[in-house]
Amino acid sequence: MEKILLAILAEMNLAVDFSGEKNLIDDGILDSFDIIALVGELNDAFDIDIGVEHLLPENFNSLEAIMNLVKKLQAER
Amino acid sequence: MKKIADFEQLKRLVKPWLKKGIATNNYLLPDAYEPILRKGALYYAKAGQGLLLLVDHGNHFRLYYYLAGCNSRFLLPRTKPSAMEILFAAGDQSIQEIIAYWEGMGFKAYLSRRRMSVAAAAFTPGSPAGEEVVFADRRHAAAIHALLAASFDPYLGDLPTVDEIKEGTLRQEFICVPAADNKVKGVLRISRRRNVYLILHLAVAPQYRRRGLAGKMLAYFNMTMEKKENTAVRLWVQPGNAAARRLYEQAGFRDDGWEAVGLLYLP
Repeated sequence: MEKILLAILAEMNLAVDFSGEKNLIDDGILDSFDIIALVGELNDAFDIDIGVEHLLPENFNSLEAIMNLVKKLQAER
Repeated sequence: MKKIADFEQLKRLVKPWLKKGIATNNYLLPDAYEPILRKGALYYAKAGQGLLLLVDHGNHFRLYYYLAGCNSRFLLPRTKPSAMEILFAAGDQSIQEIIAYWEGMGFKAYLSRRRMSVAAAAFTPGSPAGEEVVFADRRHAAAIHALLAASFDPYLGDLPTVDEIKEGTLRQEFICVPAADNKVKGVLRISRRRNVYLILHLAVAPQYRRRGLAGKMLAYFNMTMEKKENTAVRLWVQPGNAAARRLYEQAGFRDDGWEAVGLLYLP
């Protein structure tokens, strides 16, 4: 999952070392534009339904947080 | 056009549209919907390949779309103007198809903006010395409202109400150069989301221009903002506003690759 996620983030052309970042939102590396674009990719790649209610900065602040959200939604499927 | 009753209904409406390949101009995060829903100001309209969210701002509707293609025909409100803003990465030619689609629906492109950013460490707006610059308080709200209304676009200017300004002063979101009788010579409005500050409005009354007041308000903001290692400041400015761009460039801001076009529909 981590490899797929890193590939998606790399494809979004964001020049960031995501594997080492813990504050993607807090540090302004990702903003709401990026979150919305990322959600479409994640929903498609992992067959999950990220909804409006999940668009919270804490769900996208690190690679780990994004993976936790994906895992949680996969478990709820 | 139907009213959206609550967040649960909004979730159900938007869910099918949060997927790859859907074009949207809606970058609102959940907390942005709360005050809109509380006021009963959120509506929706559906068409074959699209969903529109409409926010009633009193003098106009602000539109947010989700489109799976450019073939849908929406019934737009006939009672007042509709406005929308489309954000895109500089040089993204695919946005032209979307703009052409909305122009085909009767919208006209009438405003463009570019985003500029600066890291806090590189933010160097000078000094506020020589002028009284303060955080505004509620007594200044009416004057700030009047100055912003006279300075910014009535539809896409994100103009706050007097009450919103009063609330904002409690959070120190308004810096001003005060004048007599609770009037203001200039105002700077800021919002903050975690480590990123956004300059929402910067205006100086015509009779006080060419005195460096805008720079002094920026300098006061620089002195009072909380700076962490990765704090940044962002703003949107019209590319044709040479004086504003020069001010921001001197303070360290640079274009960061995001642009926006505003579209207006007059029924």
